[in-house]
Amino acid sequence: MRLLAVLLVALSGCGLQPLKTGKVDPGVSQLQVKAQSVINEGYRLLAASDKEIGQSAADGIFTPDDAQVYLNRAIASRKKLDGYQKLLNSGDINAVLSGANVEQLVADALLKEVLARAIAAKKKPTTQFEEFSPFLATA
Amino acid sequence: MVSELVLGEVAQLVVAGIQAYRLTNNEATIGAEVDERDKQGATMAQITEFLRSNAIKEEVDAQAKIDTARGG
Repeated sequence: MRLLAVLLVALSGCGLQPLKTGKVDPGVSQLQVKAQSVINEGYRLLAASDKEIGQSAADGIFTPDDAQVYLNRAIASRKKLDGYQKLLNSGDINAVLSGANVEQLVADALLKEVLARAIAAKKKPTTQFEEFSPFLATA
Repeated sequence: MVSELVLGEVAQLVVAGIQAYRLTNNEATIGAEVDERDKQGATMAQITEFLRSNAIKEEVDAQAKIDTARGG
């Protein structure tokens, strides 16, 4: 069963279409488009993480303190992406491609960690058993 | 006894499935919104600004939910 949960985490995000980049000005190089795509994907991953963190806090899956730690990491990651965006706007593409790629990996790792943690937190046999099988409590 | 154990495991799988679906769905929803903007002729800068603004909005929403969970 743990293997299945891990597989679900691993599969999360798979099969998603790459983000569209929008209209590209004629003077913009393919490398710039690539750098922008990396940054944009990072923003998408972080937004999905933020949503999951908030919902998990609301559902009581994460304690408020734990959720805050995750959210602070997501915010720090987003601010780094903002920095790479400024570099890209100033034309420093190589710095962006190396740095933003790393930050996208960080954002991806955060997303999967949040999900894995949420799943692990739900592995409480008595409470989840009652939650999902209330009819058995009376059997 | 066996059936109770199996049901417990199934319940765990259901929870895991819901979480994975919800997360993937969150990402897919953002992708669909970007698709729509792309179709409407948005520029690369506008798409980026949308994604950045959306991330910040979700940060604010998450913070509000955490604060509510704290009882604040």
